[in-house]
Amino acid sequence: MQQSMRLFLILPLVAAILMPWASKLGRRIADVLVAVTGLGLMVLSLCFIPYAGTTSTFQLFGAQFAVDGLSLLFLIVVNAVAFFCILYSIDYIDHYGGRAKFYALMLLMILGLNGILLAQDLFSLYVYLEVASISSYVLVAYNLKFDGIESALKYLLLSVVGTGLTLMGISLIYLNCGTIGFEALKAVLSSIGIGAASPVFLLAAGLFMAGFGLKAAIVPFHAWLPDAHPSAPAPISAMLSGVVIKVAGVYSLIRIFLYIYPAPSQILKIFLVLGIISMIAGAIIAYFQSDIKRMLAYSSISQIGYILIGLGIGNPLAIMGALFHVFNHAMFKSLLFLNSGAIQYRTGTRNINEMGGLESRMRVTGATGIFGTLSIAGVPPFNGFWSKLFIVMGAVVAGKYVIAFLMVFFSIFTLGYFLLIQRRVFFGKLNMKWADIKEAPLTMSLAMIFLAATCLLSGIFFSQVVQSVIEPAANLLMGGK
Amino acid sequence: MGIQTNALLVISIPLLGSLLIPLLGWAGLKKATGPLTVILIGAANILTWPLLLPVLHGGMWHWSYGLYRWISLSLTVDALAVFMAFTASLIATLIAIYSLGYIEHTDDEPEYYFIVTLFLGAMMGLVFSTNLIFLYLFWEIAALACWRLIGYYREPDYIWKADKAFLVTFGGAVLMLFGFVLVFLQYGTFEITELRGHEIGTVALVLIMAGVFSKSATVPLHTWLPDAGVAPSTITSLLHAAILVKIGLYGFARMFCNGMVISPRAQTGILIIALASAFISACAALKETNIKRMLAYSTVSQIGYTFLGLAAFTHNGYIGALLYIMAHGFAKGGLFLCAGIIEHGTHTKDMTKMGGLIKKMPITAIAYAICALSIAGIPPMAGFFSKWFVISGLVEGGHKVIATLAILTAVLTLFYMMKSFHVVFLGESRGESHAEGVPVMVTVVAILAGLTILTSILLQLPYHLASVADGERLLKLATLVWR
Repeated sequence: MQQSMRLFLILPLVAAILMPWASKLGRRIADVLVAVTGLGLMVLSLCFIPYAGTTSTFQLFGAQFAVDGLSLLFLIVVNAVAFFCILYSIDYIDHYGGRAKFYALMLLMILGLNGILLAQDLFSLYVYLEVASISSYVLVAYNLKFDGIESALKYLLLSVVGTGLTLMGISLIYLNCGTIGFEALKAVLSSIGIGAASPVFLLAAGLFMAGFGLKAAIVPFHAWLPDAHPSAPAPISAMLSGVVIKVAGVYSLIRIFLYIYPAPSQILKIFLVLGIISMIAGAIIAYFQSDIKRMLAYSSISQIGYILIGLGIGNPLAIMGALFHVFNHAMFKSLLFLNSGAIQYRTGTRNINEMGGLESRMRVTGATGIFGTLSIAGVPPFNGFWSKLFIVMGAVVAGKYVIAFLMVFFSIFTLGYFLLIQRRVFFGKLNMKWADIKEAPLTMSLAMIFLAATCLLSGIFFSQVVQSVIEPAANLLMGGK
Repeated sequence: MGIQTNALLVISIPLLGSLLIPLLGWAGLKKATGPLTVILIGAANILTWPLLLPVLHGGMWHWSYGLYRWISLSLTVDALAVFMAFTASLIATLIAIYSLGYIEHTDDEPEYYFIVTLFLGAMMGLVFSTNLIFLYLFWEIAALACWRLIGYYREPDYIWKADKAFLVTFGGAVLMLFGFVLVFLQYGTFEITELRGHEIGTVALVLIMAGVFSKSATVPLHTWLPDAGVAPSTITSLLHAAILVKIGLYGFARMFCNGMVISPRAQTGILIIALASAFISACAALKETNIKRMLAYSTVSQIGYTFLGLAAFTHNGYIGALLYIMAHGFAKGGLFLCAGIIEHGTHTKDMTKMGGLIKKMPITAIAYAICALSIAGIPPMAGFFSKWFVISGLVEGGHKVIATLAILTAVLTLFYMMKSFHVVFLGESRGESHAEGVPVMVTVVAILAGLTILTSILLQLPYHLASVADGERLLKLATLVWR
């Protein structure tokens, strides 16, 4: 098993390198190569589920890597969503061209994300973070139009500041502890019993918070996201919103603050406050958008807020809810972005006011859109319900009634603005402009159907999902507490 | 067949069977979806029959499947559950049959039938569940089904009303869930059977009642119902009035009459809200000229009445409320379907533009009269006995002022029901000439009117069931005292 873990890094790298030759042989060969790689990675990550409770390490390129419960959860999320996005791209990318380049960049992004999750020291984490980020900058600008390039540039500039801060934090840590390996750091930090006391560690914590917070698009570090996510090609928006902000941002924050640092209470408070601000601001701004992808992007900020609140509350229930919400949000937000992509693919617009009645023309997109809407609003039996329930219960158990009430209220609000999308885009009178549009092509529809099925099934079989992957991850974080 | 298998089949046949309907639609067998729906819902109804006798003999079954820590699918078969399951599925069967004639002109038949079946499945699940989380889960699936039913015809106006109904009921239900979580915090369980006899806090109660009242369209959370009653097809309005709004009532009966205890002050509060709801909406019904809106307001009013019976927490009140759930289901169902036939024939919902229809639509007129008499509470109709029990239950509980005002509301109900009959069916004809409805529709209306009469004649049967349910209620509370 330990041998096959290397494939998480090797497989996408090899496939990315082979991509130019494969595309010379024929575009179908490139399609098959990328699809097989994606499927292989997804299956591989699922194969590790029985080992969720254990940690196993391996060496590659001279560095130390490991898979534990927490990274496994994220690995499943990354590789599953990546496979669906790849499947979707096969037909979608027709309208951009340059499929070999696109696939290669996407594979590099997956490589970077897997690397972040497998890394066992802060520096490797940083390196893979850059791998994922650089490929995503290029992918955001992939349409080579003004808005794409502009927002990619914005994303790049802000991200560089963020990663710079992170690097500074890493050096501070290295200077004071003499190590940057996770396990070693954990031992050092708990032996000197800091967390709260030492200003140097708090400064480092602040730098990490800003750096990774920017990656996670937490308000007030969110400015790049509403530009970058809409202008990227749809599968990339889905990857960015569904996976990248969670792995590069949320996962790193969890790994550092809940695993290495012994969850200092100041940090948890910051999580809580920023989480609440993100949840509220994201939802309210989303309501006023007329660009469907921008709306979804703001709603991602709002949902990341829920995750942060769960982490900030910090009791087992809330953490489990937060981790489950990571999984769920990845599924339904990618689904919704793919839906919007399918609409844009057929109509060429993202303005919801120009749409209407599309459901009668795009059956699959309409039906899966309803799944996404209900999941994100937390309507049972869809998966979003269970994770929100866990977070709310965590808040109530912790005695934070106001926060619990806010979360409940904003889930009603979320339903409100997603119903608005449904009303303007899918239902209502058909805009005659779109009288003869058709359903999205086959692989795009398939990807949406798979994601919608995941949303429903992981809601119905929530106990299996929670017990097999969420609990081991939460146990790791709550270890000893 | 054991009781467990039987109850599971009642839930799973419509719930899982509904998934077949879109498959049939894709397979190009659109014509088959309607009959399949009738079969699925009818099967659910027929399967409740074998449950009737065991529960009449006072049997009670409870079992649960643990899913995750405190979340478990707990099912209870008792008189209350079987009573609701039987009533709801019987009305739903008639609705499905009526739909065969009503819905065939539209393209999306499979979607419609899918949602109706799913709705009934959720209803059956709700009725038998005694875990608060699953109660909420099925509650929301029903809301979901409603959302799509109200917005079934894609007019912008209807869609807005569908969204409104969904948001109000979802909002209420989420608050209710929050209340459940507070209860969980207090007692550490979501099982209603384990919560029995425990008094819950005021905040939790208010939150839970927000859910109950929003679902059961009680003033001030009622506005979605008249909208939902007018907007879409007759069947939707019927489904709402006869089954959906009963979910809140059932939830109240399950949670508070058979489970958690509320303080006397909170009880008075609920009685006052219920009375206000009954009275205000009766006044609204009096003024309304749109026939379906009038009926919807009347539903709000009757729901208030039923709440009065339940919240009295007395023997007669409880029996009256349960009887009224059944009597109102049949009678209001009949009225809405009559309204549907009239609307089909006259192409208007405005009562002032109708008149003299008794000559053109004799069967519809007679059915309307029978159902209206039952709702108005004229003896010997079932509606009379229900109201009588409710009022005597109120007196029994010492709420004399509220009982008096309830009688006043009953008089108002009589007045607007008779007025509507007069305006629509008697007098001079004010529109073009119209024929009687399609045979299948008229038959269903006649069946519902017949059921209304039948429940009046054979009142002992539902009465017996309801008093068994009440006996169980008392028994459950008594065992607690003994413990």
